[in-house]
Amino acid sequence: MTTPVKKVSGIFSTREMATKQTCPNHAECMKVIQLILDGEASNEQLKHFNQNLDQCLPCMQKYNLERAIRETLRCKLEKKCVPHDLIANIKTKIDEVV
Amino acid sequence: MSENPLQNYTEKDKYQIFDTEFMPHIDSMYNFAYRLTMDEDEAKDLVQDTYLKAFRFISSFQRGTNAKAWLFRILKNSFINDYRKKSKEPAKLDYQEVETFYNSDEADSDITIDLRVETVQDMIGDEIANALNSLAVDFKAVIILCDIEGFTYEEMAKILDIPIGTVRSRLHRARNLLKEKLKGYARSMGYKSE
Ligand SMILES: [Zn+2]
Repeated sequence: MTTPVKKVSGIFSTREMATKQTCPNHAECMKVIQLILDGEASNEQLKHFNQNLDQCLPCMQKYNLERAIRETLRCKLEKKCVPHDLIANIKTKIDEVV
Repeated sequence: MSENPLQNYTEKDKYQIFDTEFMPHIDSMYNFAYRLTMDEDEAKDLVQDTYLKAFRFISSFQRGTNAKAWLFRILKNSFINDYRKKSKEPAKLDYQEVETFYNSDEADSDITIDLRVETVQDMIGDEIANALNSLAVDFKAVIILCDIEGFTYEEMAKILDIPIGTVRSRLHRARNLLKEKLKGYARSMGYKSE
């Protein structure tokens, strides 16, 4: 029989202390990773994440990928310049309405 | 837009709020409008309509509160109304079904997308834009609002008039779709995928 493993955190199982090749909790980890990258994680979630990330190889990889996608979106999507007449048009229209 | 009591602004106040609190967001507004419509002229019209409405309803805006979210909400509503009228887009997905699925526990346990970090980092703007633009407009919108405009889930819930839980699940779904697109794109462009 196996002895029950004490859970240190609610996010990552700590059954193996070495870096794990598979994640027993991947769905849960992914949810937390999204929250962290979106700046919506609680302090508790952040703490658990920082303590356990290095034990979970697939989740570490997912974290890096999710972060890269966000950075690429932010930095590489073309930003359109506002057409030069738009602001003037808006102001003219407002003065007409008032 | 009617949660706040109506404000009593003088004409001078109105112009001041308009210039100092609304106009600074025109860059973001125009880019959001462009990503939604994918057309420069329509984006212009949409932004102009939005600002005219914002001025007309300015007394329901409380000075010093979140003008950007307030404006984005008007823009989103204008877009939906226009877009329904013009009915250019294909029928909407049944989000209820999609989102119910995504709220279930097993939803993402099987999704293994072997997309490499380097592949994403090597992509150019057009490739990312094509992937984003291929998403249904509601999915595209949540990604823009969250990742590019940096709105919080709570702000997004107000802008889109949906519960926070729905924001979360729609974002999740949108990101998985985007990853699938990026992966397909990477493969077709000859990036190594494994
Ligand atoms: Zn994990």
